[in-house]
Amino acid sequence: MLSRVAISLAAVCFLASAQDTYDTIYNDIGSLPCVRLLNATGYVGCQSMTAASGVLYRADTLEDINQFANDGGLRNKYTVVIPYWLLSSSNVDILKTSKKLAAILAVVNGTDPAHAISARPTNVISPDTTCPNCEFGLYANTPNQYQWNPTGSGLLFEQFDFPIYALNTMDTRNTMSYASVMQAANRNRDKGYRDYPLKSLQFHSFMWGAQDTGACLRKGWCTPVGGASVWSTPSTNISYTDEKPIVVITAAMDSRSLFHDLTLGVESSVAGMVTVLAVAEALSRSTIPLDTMSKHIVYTLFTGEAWGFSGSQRFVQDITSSPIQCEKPPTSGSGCAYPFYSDLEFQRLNPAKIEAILEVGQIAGMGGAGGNPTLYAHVDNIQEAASTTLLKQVVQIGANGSTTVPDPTAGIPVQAASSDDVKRGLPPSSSMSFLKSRGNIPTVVLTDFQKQMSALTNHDQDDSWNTPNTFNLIQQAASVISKTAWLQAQGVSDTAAMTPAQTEAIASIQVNAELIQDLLECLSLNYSCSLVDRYLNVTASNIPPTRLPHYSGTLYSQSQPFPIFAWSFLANMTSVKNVTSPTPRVTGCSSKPATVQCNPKEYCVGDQCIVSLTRYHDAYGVGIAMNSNAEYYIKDASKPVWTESTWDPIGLRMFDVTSPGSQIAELMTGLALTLVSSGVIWYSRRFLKKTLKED
Amino acid sequence: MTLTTFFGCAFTAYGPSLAIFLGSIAPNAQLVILMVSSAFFWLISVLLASAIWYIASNSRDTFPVTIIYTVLLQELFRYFLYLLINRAESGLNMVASHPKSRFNRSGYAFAAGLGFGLMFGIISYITQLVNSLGPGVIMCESCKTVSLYFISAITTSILILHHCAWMMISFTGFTNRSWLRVAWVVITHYGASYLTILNSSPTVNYGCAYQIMGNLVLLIASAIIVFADMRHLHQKLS
Repeated sequence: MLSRVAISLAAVCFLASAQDTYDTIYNDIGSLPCVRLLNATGYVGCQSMTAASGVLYRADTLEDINQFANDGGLRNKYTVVIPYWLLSSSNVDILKTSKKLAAILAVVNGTDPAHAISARPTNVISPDTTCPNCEFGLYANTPNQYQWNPTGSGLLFEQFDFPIYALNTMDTRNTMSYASVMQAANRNRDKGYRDYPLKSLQFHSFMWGAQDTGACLRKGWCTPVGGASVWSTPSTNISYTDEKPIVVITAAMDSRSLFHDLTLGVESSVAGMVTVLAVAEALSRSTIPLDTMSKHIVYTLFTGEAWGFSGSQRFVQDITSSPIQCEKPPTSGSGCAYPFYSDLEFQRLNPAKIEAILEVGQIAGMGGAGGNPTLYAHVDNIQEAASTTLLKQVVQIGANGSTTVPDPTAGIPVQAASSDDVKRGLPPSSSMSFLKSRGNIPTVVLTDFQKQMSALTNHDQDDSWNTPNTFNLIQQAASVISKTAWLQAQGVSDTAAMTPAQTEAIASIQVNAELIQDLLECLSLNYSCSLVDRYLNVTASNIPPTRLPHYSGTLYSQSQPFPIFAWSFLANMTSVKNVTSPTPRVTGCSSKPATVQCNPKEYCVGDQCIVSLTRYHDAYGVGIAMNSNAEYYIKDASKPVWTESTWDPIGLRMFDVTSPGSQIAELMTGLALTLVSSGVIWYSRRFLKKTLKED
Repeated sequence: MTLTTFFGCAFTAYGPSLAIFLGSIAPNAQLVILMVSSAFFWLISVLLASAIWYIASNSRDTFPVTIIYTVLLQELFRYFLYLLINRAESGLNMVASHPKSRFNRSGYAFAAGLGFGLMFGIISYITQLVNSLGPGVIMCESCKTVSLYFISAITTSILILHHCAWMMISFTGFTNRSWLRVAWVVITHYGASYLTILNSSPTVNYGCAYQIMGNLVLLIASAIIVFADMRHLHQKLS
């Protein structure tokens, strides 16, 4: 390739195309950027006005960072490659004040010993605040509210005026990028960062959104952060006026972290989502049909929870404002054009009838606090009395799970979080959104922590977990919640007073351990697994997806793989009414061309025609509303209004640079050559004139 | 810092030839026209060369082969250009400031040579020059501390001057039926072209330096021939 460019001087250069030359000079690297997000009062995240470029510099330790800052011999701009755990405000300040920083590459995972999992410090620091989303929570106006995340550094809320990108060996493409960057950085290091040419990286990271959400929404330079929540119920005939109480089983579906492409949230959300899906599967085995029980069971999985409980708050706001006055019906399909709702079936849920909320919070057991994994049941401390009975039931079922049936997970105890006589109230959770509208709903939030959230909350490095612990915790949580929900739905408060049919039925509710393993695997690292494939035929695509980000994305602009899967799974599970006499299902609806056409009220899920009440619900900050022109505006700045800035195409490329000194030398040579030849021409013209005069 | 590289390379590659153009060609309208038409001739030669390159898909990346027909075509078109100028000479002389001067033909040859050279310089180097605006550089394969942009700029600069000399020598050669001069032009053209392969040589250390020195030696030799011819012409006059 090089020779092709060189040979151009032999008069054939026009034959080498421009793309060839570009590829010779530049190596485009897969990019995992930190982007700018905006809220009511300002912005957070990363941006650079111009395309920043800097010579690759490798710093593995804090000493390396200090050495970089104090090395007077470094006279260029540098891209510093650091392990992710060195990305802290104080270290960034050291780099910034050196005036030599162009950009930062943070290695989340790498094959180099300095970046390996074993090199990670044991003392993990959460990048979130000391109380994530608490300003939008139930106790926002309570003085001295309990700080659930005391190690929180607030890194996610800092403003960086230079690009920060991640490197992670999570797939082939990113591993290649990592390898080429590290090879180049090591070569620069071997040259002492002085022996040019050195390898340099250029970043494009221009963010359009500026100031705050209000300003950028007016200019159209940002989009609300959000996506689709999913709710589902086995009671297909549920209505607002049927007076039947409702039991809500809920969890969050999304998470956040500095690098959205890496957001995984096994601790923050995936484990909870897996639990709710496993509960739905377990309850579908009930020998007593779920839709005949004295209470309705409603599953909710919320998106946007990492962004000020956007999903749950919007859901609660919408169900409490029904019936909706639809001013402009949609031109096609369901919902309403103005005020905008993509679906209106939620009006069938009566919020006044919600009689119990069972929520699964962080339960992956990644806290690293040591000791035996335990599940803690949290209740609200303001209207504590409302939840006492429910809490007692949860703890009791957790304790005697082994007495009714042999249970391998009985080893994991369930405790009331206030068992140490400290009443901290609820940790940040979706339930808060319900309790904000009506405080006396019995509510239990199940987590793996008593006093302190996992430091891996909203962390980019929550990608390695203690597998048996995580499975056992999820299994126990699913078991406790499914049985509690079943008893609640049956209206049984005392297990001793159950009828023989009920005793038999509750024994049928068994959590499928294999399903939990599959779900955890599918939803965290391999979306193209057979379980997801059964529903969504993902492996038919050209590049089957593997690890997908759990960042919710921006509203209506991205595909929502996890909500789509949750919808399909819940639709399938809630359509099962009675395992003892299953109605045969019609199959063949998803083949192309379809051999079977489902009835108008049926859905084709996993190649079967089913009837289900499973719906998506828009999830974005309740402070944002859409006007009749379909433009977003801030309705209430005191509520969550998170938006993501729009960007110019983002990317980074690697190339050789020459030293600033040699570039100046090139310019001087060019100028000297031009001046000298001008002089020679001027002189020889005079000479020629003189000589030719003799003609 | 990329602007520095860009201007450095632009001045290096085109500074001397632009000085020549502004200092000696631009004041004379007919020389400008001659220069442009000669540039057009060079373009046609290279158009044919690229057609052959396109058809000869097997040898596309074998540069010594490509050079063979590219240089040959250029020399062929140099002869066509000579024939054209030869035919137009009486007309050209009529409007010249010294219609009887015997140096007119040398002036035409020089302008035509600059046209050949400048078009070559633009076509062969402009892609690299544009790329030098970007932050990245390509390092010269044989001189790993210098960017290829700069080496190419120097080479371009020398080769443009080469073309001026070659055109003058070959015109004298064609006029006087001095095949030795024509042979010199063809041989040194091949020599200069093959020397540039040294730039990308992975085995020859400092190949770019040998290339530049070799080309300078060839240029000086050609210049001596030109001066000798001019002197001869001058002496014949007086």
